[in-house]
Amino acid sequence: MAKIISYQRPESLEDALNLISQEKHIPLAGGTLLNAGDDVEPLHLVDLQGLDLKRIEEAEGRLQIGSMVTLDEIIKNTNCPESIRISARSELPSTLRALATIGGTVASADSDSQLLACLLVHDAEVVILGPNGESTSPISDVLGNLEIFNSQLILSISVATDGKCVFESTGRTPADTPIVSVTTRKCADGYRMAITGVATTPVLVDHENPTLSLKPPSDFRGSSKYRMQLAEVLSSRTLNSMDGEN
Amino acid sequence: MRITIELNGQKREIDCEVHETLLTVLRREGMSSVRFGSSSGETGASAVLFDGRLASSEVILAAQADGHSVITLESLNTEASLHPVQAAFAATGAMQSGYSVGAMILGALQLLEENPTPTETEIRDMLSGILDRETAYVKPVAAIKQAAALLRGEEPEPFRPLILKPMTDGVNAVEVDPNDSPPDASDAVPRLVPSSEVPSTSVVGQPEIKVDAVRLVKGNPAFTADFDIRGLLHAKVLLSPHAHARIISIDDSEANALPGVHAVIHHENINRVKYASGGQSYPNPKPHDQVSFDNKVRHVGDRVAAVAAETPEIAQEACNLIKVEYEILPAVFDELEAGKPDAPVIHDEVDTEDIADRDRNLVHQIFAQRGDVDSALESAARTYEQTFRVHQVQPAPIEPHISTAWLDSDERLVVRTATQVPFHTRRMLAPLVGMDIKDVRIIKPRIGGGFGAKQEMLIEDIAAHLAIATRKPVQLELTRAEEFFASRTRHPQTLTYRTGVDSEGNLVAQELKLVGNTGPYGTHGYTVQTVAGLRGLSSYNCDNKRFDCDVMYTNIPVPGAYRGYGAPQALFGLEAHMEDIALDLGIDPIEFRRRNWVKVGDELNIAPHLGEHGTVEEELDEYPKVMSNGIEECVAQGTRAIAWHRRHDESWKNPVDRPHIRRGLGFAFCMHGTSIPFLDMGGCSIKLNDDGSFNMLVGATDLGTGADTVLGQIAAEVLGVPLEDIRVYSSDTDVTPFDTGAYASSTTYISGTAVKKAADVVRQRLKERAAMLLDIEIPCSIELRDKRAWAPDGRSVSLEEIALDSLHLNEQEQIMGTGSHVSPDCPPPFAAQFVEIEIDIETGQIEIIKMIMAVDCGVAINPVTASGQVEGGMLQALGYAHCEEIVLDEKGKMVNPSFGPYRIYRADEMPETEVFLVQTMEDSGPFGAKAVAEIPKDGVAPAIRNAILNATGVRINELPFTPERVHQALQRD
Repeated sequence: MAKIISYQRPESLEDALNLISQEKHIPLAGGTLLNAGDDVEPLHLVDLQGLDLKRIEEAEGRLQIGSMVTLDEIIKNTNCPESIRISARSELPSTLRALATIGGTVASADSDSQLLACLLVHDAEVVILGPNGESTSPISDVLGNLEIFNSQLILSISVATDGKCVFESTGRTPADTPIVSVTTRKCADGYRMAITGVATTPVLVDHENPTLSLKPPSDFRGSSKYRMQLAEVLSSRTLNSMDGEN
Repeated sequence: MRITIELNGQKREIDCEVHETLLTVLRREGMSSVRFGSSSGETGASAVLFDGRLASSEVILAAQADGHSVITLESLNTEASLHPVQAAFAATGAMQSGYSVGAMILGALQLLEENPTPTETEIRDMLSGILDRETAYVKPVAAIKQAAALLRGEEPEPFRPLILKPMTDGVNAVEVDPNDSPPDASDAVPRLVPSSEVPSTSVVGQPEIKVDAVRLVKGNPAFTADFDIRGLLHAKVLLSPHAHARIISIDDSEANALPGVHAVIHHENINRVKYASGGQSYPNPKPHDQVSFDNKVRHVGDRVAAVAAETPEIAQEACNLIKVEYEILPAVFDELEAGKPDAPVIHDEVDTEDIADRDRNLVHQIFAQRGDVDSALESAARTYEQTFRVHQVQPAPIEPHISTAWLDSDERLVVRTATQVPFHTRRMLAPLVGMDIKDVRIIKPRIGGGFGAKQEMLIEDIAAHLAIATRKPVQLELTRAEEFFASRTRHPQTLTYRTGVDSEGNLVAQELKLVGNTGPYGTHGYTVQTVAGLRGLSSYNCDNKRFDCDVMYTNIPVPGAYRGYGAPQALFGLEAHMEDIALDLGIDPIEFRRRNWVKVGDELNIAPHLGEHGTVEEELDEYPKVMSNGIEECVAQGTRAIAWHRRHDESWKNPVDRPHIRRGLGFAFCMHGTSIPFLDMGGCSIKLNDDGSFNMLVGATDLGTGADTVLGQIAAEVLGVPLEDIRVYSSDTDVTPFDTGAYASSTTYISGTAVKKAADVVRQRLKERAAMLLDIEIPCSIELRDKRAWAPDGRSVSLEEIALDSLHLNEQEQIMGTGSHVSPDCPPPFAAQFVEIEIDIETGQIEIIKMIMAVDCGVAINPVTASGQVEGGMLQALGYAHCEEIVLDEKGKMVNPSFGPYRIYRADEMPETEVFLVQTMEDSGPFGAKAVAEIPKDGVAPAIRNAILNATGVRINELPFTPERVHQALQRD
C-alpha cells in the first residue's frame, strides 16, 4: 500500500489549497487509487471530504457535479444524464463506486475510462481553484495537463445534459474494462465522439474521420493495429446506431 | 491518531496509525468477518457498509472513516438465530469457503432495504464488486432472491433439486426431439436424474445444509487470519526482481538495525536442506531442487530473504533495506526454447540430483506406450496431426496464502496454515527446520479457496524459520501480487496429437507428444504432465497409444497444482482434435466420439502405465475397467437443454438483425479420475457421546468444497442419525487421523469410504450394546434409524440410552471406531459439456451465452454442494478459456499481477449456467459416489473452441480466446 505519513482533513478551501501547495501533499478524494498504490515515496494526504464539494446542481442549462460526488451518487441521481449514470456504473464494480469520486476520476485521467469519454462528449468543463482563484477549462484540456493538480483543486465538473448517447466497446469479457470504447453523443449542434484505449487519455475525435491522427498504444490486451481497427469499427457502429441504420 | 466511528451502531474511539486501513482497524476490533483479498479492494472480501453503502474497507484509510458509520456482518449476530439473509445463504448452499460471504450478505442487506423486489440484474450488479472463485455466483443470486422473499413475508419454495425423468436407458443413445425442452427452473437448482440402481437413503443424497454454515454466515472466526495470538510478528519476503541471477552478496545490516525488526533470514543463515515443495505422497517425486533460501534466483518473485518485524510495514521497509548484489544471468521462458543449446542452464548446482538432462533443462522424460503406434498409424485409413498451445494462469483463491507459526509451551512448532495438505506439510517441513515430525503440528482452519495452489508446502517454512529464529509467533500473508507471481500457477504446455482412424471412424492409434513447462522448480512438474498424458489418452478406446513427454525448466513463475491437474490442458487438445477429425470424416462430432468413447466394461488401458512414481513399461495381466458410465444420459439431457439442433440452423447462427454476430454451439466429452489408486489414503475416527451424538475426526481437508458436510452425511447414514448429530473436526495433525489431503478428486471417494468403515465399526458395536439392553441374541438383526436401535419385534432403545449405559452404567467402554481406506480403483466420472456463444466477427469479441454441464459423478452425496462444485469449476474453466492469463514482459516480470488486468469473471457478466447430475451406481464408492470436483474444469475450453468453429468455421488452437487472437484467426481464415 501507499506510504502515507500524514493525514489532514481541511474544512475550508483555503486551508486545502494551502496544504496541497506543500511538497508531497496530495489531495485525497475517494482513495480507491491513492490508498491502493504501492509507491514507496512518502505521501502527505489532504482529505477533501470536509469540503462542500458534494452537490449536484443545475446551473445555466448545465449540470454542475461537485468533485467529491461519488460514482454511486451519480448513478442514483436522476438529474444526471442517463449516459453519465450508465458510464459511472460501468466504471467500477459495486464495492468501489461508493468511494470513487468524479473529481478523482478526472484527476486520474485513465486512458480506459468510459466515464471520462462520456464527460468529453457531454462538453464537460472542469472548475478549478488555484492560488489565483477559480478558472474553468474544457475537460479535454485538463486531461492533457494533469500537472495542474499539483497545486490546484477540482471544485466541480459541469456537463451539458441534452442529446442522446450511444456506446460501443470491445473487451475480453462483457464487463471488462474495454480495450477500446467509443461514446458518441448527438445533440442540437451535431455529434461528439470520444474514444478510450487509443491514447494516454480518452480523446475527442472528429466523428467524420475518427481515427485520423490516432496512434494507439500496444499492450497485452490489444496491439496498436488492433486498437485502430476497433476504433474504426466501433465508431462506425455508434454512428449507424445513432442514425437508426442498424 | 484517534478516530471515532459508529461501529455497528455504537460509537467507538479507536487509536490507529495514519497509514492504517479501515480493514486493519476493524480486524483489530474483532470484526473477523471483514477479510483481506487485495490491497486495491477489487475482491470485495473486505466490504462493509460505509455510511450505508457497500465499500471495500481495504481502500479506506481508518482516518477517512473518522466520523462515519460502519456496519459489519457482526451487527446481525446479536442472537443465536440467523437473520433471514444469513438463513437464505445457508439454505441455498450459497457459500463454499465462505471467505467473502460477509460482504455478500451486507450487500444483500443494503440492496433489499432499498429495493425489496430486486431484479436478477440488480442483484448481480450489487455482487459485481465481490469476486468469487467458488460458486460462479449462481447460488448467491438464488440466496438473495430467497432472502428477498423471506423479508417480504413470503414463504419461499424449499431449495431442493429438480428431479428429472431419465431420457435414456442409461446405455443407448436417443434421438432428442427438437421441440422438447427441460422443465423450467432456477439456474441454481441442480437437475437430478435418478437411477433405479441406487438404493434409497435418508441422509445421503439429501441437500443438507453445510455443517459449517452457521460459522460462515455469521462471519465467526474461521480462517487463519481470524485467530489472534499474543505478541505476533509479521513477516515479509524479499523477492527477486530478476528472472535468473546469482546472488553475489547480501548485506542485511541495515535491515537488522531497523527498530522493530526481530530477524532477517536468507541463504547465509538458514541451513541448506534440499526438498521439493509439491504436496504429494512420500517419497516426494524427484528432483528435490529447492531450498528455503538459495544463492541463486530462478524467476521474478523467487525468494531472496525474509524479515520478521513488529508490523507489516516495518517488515517491508526492512526488506527494502537489504542490499543484494546480483549477477544477472540469461533467462528462458518458452518450453520449446529451453532445451536449445544456447539456453541458460537453470539448475547448475551440484546438489540437485535426478534431473534427466540438466544441460538441456530437461527435468523429466516420460514415456508410456500400448501396442504398436507406428504400425497402426501407417496402416490407418486416415491420420491427423494437430498442435495446441495452452497458457499460464493462476488459481487465484480470494484468501491468499497465509501461515502463522509459533513454538508452543512445550516448544513444539505449531503452524496454523491455509493448506490443502496438512500431513504432507508436516512431513516436509520437519527436516527443513531441523525438527522431528513428532515436534511439528499443522492445524488447518477453514481455507478461503485453494484449487491446488495450496497443495504445496509453500510459505510454511518461512514462517517456521522466523518463529524459531525469534522464538515468537510469526505470520506471513502473501499480497495479491505475490499470490500471482510467487505462489503457484497452471503449467503451460505444447501438445501435439497424432491420431489414426480406420474406414469406419474407429480410432486405431493415438499419440500425445507433450512439452511441459514446469518453470524453475519441479514441484508438480512430473505428475501434472503424467496426468495430462493419462487424461489425454484415456477417453477413447484404442489399442495403440503413446505418451511421449519432455518436462522443461524455464524461468517463468512456478507452475504447480491447479484443479484439473493436467487434464484441462490435455482435454482442450483432445476434444478439439476429435471435433476436427469428425468433421473431416463427415460424421456428427458426438456420434464420432460415441463410437470411440469408453463404455462400461472397457479397459482403461494406459492408466496403470502412468503412475505418480514412474511409468510401467511391461504389459499387465489385468487392466482397470469402467464399471459405471452415465455419459449417454448426460448427452441426452445436455443436448435437450442447449437445443443442440440449432447448430445447423443458419437463420439462428446468422441473425439478420445483427449482421456482425455469428452464433455457435460447442460440445466436449469429459472423463476424469477419482483419486489416485493405491496411493491416496484417508482416515477417520468416530466416538459416541453421552447424548447419542458423535464426534468424527477426519484428516480430510475441506477447502470450502463441502467435504466436512458430505463426510458427515455418510457417517449419519450409517449410524441412523441426522447430520446434526455428527460433529466433524478435520485436519489437525496432532488430533485427527492421517489423510493425504484435498486433491485428485479423492475426498468423497477415499475419505468417504474411510468414514463409512469407521461408522460401520461403531454401528456394529452399537448393535451389540443394543442387543444387550434389548436382550436379543442376534445383534445383526438390529437396525439403526431415527437415533434409535430397533429390534425386529419393534422394540427399540435410543442411542442416548446406549451411550449412557456404555459410558456410565454397565461394562463401561468408549464406543468408537476407526477406519482408513486406500483404493485399487479410480472410477472415472463422465460429463457432457455444452456451451452457446456469440462471436462478433468484426472485433473478435466472444460472449458466452450459456454453459451446461451434465455430469455423472455416481451418487451425489449432497446434490447442492455437488452442483456448487460444478458451477464453480465451470467459472474457473471459463476464465481459463476466455480471459485469464499471466503475461510476462521480456524480462520475465508479470505485467498484470492484479485483478482487473488479470481478468476473472464477475457476477454481472456470467453466462447462464446449468448443472445436471446424472446418477449412476459406482459400487466401489461410498453409497455409489464418484468424484465431481475437477471434471468441470475439463470441457469448457474445448467446447468454446468447437462453438467458435461451429459459428465461423475457424479453428483456434491456442488459449485464451482473447478478442485480438480471435480477430486475427478470423482474418487469417
